[in-house]
Amino acid sequence: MKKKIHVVALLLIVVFILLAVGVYIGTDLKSSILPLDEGWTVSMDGEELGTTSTDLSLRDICKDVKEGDTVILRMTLPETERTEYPAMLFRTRYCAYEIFLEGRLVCRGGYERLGKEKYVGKEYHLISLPEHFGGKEMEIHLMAEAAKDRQMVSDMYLGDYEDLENSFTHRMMLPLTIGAFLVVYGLFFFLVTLVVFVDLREFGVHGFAALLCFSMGVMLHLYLGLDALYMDTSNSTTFGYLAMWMVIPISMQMVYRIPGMLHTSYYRLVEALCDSVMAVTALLHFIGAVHFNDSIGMLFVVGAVSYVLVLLDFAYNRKQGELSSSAHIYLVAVVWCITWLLCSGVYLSMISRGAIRVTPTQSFAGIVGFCIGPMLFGYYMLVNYLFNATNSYAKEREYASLTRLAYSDGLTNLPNRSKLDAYLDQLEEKKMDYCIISMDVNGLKKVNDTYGHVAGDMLLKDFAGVLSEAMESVTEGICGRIGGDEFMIVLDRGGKEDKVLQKIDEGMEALNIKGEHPWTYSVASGSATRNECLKSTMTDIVHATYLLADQRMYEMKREQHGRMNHGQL
Amino acid sequence: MKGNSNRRLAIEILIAILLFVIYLFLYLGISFDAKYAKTVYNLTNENWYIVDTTDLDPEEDLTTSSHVTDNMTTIGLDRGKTIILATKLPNELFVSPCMQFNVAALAVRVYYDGNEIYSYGTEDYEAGRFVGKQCCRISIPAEAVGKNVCIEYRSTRQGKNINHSSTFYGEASDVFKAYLQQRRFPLFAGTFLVIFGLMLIITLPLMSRKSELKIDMIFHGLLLFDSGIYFLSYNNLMQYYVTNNWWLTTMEYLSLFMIPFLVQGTVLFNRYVRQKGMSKFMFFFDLSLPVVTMILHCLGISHMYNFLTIAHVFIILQGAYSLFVMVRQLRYFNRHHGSEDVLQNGERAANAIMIGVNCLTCSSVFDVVFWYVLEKLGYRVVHVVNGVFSIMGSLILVACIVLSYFYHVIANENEKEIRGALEGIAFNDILTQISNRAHCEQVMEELTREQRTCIVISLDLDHLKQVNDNLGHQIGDKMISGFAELLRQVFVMPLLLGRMGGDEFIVILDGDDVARCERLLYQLTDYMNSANAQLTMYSYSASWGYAGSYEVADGHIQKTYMLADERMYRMKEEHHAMDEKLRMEEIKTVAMQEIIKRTEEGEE
Repeated sequence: MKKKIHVVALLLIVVFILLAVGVYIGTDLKSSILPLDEGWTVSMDGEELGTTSTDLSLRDICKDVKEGDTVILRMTLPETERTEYPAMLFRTRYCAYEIFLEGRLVCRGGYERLGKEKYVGKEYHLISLPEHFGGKEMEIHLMAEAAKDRQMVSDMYLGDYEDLENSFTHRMMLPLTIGAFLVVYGLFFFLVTLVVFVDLREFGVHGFAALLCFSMGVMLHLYLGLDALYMDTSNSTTFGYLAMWMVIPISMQMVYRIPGMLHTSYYRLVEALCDSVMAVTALLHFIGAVHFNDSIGMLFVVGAVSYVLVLLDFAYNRKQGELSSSAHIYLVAVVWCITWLLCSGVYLSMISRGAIRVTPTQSFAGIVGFCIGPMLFGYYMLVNYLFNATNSYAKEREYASLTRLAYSDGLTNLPNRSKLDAYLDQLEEKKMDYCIISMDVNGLKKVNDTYGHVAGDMLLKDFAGVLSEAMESVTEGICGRIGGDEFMIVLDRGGKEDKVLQKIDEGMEALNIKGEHPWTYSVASGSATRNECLKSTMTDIVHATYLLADQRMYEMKREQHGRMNHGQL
Repeated sequence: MKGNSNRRLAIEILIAILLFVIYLFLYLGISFDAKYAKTVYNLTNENWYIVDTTDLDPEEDLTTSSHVTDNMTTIGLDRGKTIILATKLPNELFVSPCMQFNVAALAVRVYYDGNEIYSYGTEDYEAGRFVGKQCCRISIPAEAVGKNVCIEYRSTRQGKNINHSSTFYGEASDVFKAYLQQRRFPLFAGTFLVIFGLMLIITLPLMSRKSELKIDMIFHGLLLFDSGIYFLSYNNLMQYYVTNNWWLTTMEYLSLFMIPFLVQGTVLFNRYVRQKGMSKFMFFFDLSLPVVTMILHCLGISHMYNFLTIAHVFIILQGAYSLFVMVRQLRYFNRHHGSEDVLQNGERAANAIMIGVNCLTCSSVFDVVFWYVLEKLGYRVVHVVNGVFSIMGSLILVACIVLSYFYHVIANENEKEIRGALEGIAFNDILTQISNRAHCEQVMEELTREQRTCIVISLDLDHLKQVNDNLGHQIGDKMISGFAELLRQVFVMPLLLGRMGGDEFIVILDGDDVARCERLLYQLTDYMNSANAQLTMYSYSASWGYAGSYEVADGHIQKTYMLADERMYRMKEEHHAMDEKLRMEEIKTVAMQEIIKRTEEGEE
């Protein structure tokens, strides 16, 4: 079953990737979209610094730009078809911007935050342009916030608004859907776990797994800037980084709580260390000293450390082999997830820092990779659920047959002692009046000795048949066999015993008349009700009632013996 | 037990409340970043007037024309009839001004100064094709800002009401963004449902064991997937994923029409549901809706939308039926959950899902009714997110599915305990805690299959009946359990030690070491004697016989047992004979004593 799970998980990933790629490729756009990253003349303080091209990026040109400097990009836009809603899509990174078309201000942003020394993050902007931009001159003014990251604007496209929007969503289809899914999924699971495991001690692995899903979903949307589609907060970058940081402590907590898992003694120590590094980094960000984007290297280091720790624990536990399949699945899921996240996170980071140059396809692949980890994790969690569900369905059948064994007598298929005891306890709990009839089949030993065990069994089975027939009309009550030749009837209230006993007598008479067997069917019985035993000194009223019924049964037996003896003599 | 089920119910109610809170939060959350609400104009009915001609003077004072009131927006237009509305645009200059509104089943033409600046659906209408939903986005030329524009609506369906929904006007990018912003909740919820359902559908067939396909769970997946698609389509979000117009319309209707069928699927294949005949009928009845309409639709005979009312009827019927089934099921569950607590988690899980499915159908029904009420009474749909209750219902369904997950998880985590408990009850004799008859039979069969060489000893406890009759059952029980204990002490690690019946015991030893067997039985006699020395009320005495599996043809253990049993009887008879002899001797002695006494008395 475990192998199957991994196969299925991989299958799902493949399916999703194919879908994403398919959607990306197979979109038919009304008019083409123009990529705009190259061809800008960059200048600062009147001095021309260079022109962007595939080999020379903005980052390279702006090497010497300092904080607070304004960089100006100029370009004459190429001629294109007229569009209904001319628009431009671009991404700004940590800077304020102003866009001019033919000298006219089209839009600006970020200056208020810069002025107040607040953090300006990375954002996608999709803005409308006045009627037609073909052949017109565009000027972009950028004011850098931080000295470090100088790729101040990127992912620039020109075209029809709806086309731009569509191409954006199609390109980001995978993180968009996976992110939305994980956010809702994680939230759901978290809430349900919280409610089901009201006792927080049991909260454990399930709750943190849910939180992890939620955090990763948020991260996917905010870190990749997808919230531009449906939200307008300037804080998304901060929250994106926070969500990314949170992955580490949450996953460590989750691994710690996996049931049955043994941890190295310094697990807690390393965890505390990671948490404190995270706290310090966050503090530095919020006081404005070192922003998240600059300390991202720290995140990878801490991530790697905790990852190694988890791997060590994994290897250790594998050797000991005490993990349940559920725990195993959780562990594998976490390990896979962090692996993918680390690798693709580093890759994406390097791309955005300009450390490596990639084609759009490679960049797309990076984003896809970034989604695989969280998706795998969410999927493994779901698979775990399904595994449990299908497992317990199967177990249920087994339990049903075990229960039959547990609660019915092997020979006669009537309820056995366990069942009768349980039934009586239930009635006693409700403090209802019940009636116990104790019955003893006469002559079993003699039949066993004379005709053998097989005959004895048949005697009992026949009696059981009579008994169940007599009980058919009784809705509130059960009968059963509690021992060798002892049977018991429990009725939910007194008053019906005579009727039942009469039916039993009739049944046995019928058997005797049939005369199939050389023995005679007869039974001794005695009944007692709960009400009669309420005043008993015994604490266990059920037992007292049973004893009374038994006693009466013995009296009848003695009577029967007496009659027989008299008959003999 | 009652307390437990109440707790569960409370939990479920709590979840529902939490969901409602989340929904409110998300819905109200539209305004937490309300930048676009401030920059985009919402041209409500107060701004619109009914005019006669599309050739409208841009500067004309419209207040002399009849105002569009709430009542008038629901004029039922006959097919082909038109109505022209006009407004004066706000005098704010935007970089790229845009006007946006939603229409359904209407052909639209927008005019400025007598010139058509936008058109939708006219060609399709004239060609007799279906005119579906559209989000009309009109680019306003710069000169039209602050002037009159008019919209001509043409009805494409009989009795179509012009639901002139809110018109938004502002900067194009702001208008577009606001559109998606307002649909955040269905975007997330719908995407989630689609993916969750898809995951279930893909995974389940692969995970099922060979014997059983978990059809009911597949239906859950399908229902979620389908609901998700419907919510996305209904809220005009599907166009972000799919661009083909025909598919967009078809998807919306098809997904709606599939809902009663899928709901009934979950009811029918729910293993605890009792009413099978009616359920099967409803299942095929519901299936006819999507199948028939889809065939007609694809053949071009009749567009699916024509069957919308019928579909609503189906939904209501299905809702009523599943509600009925659920109520019956829950009542039965409450009445009959007996002492088999261990099996309840499966039923609880199924119940949870049933409650969830019913929430979905009830909320859908509510939405349907709500929609009709709105149409007929002519109220503007106030908020943009339609199908509010259905989304809530589907999220409750998801919560219930997740809840059922936890029931299963709990069941699995307790599995070892449950199993142990059940096995303890199932396989052990209660009184003596050694194997009971059922287990003995099972073990014997296994040994036969394995062709194991072993020795079977059949033991019978003597005088049990007398003890029961004379001293009572309690003492009798003590005797039995005492004897079993002796057996346990003597026979350490046998293949089997069990109680076949009232006073019959069986021991199976591994191998064919007869000498060892004899030794152990001798030891048993010893133990019994030393126990008897301490006992006053009764004494242990047993008869036994043993046989080896090699003595019997094909090593059949049952037959071996019968052979051992026969030998046990012989020993018993010997005991009886001895007893009789002893008794005879005792009677003789007593009689002699009596005679001697009487003789002595007689002599006096």
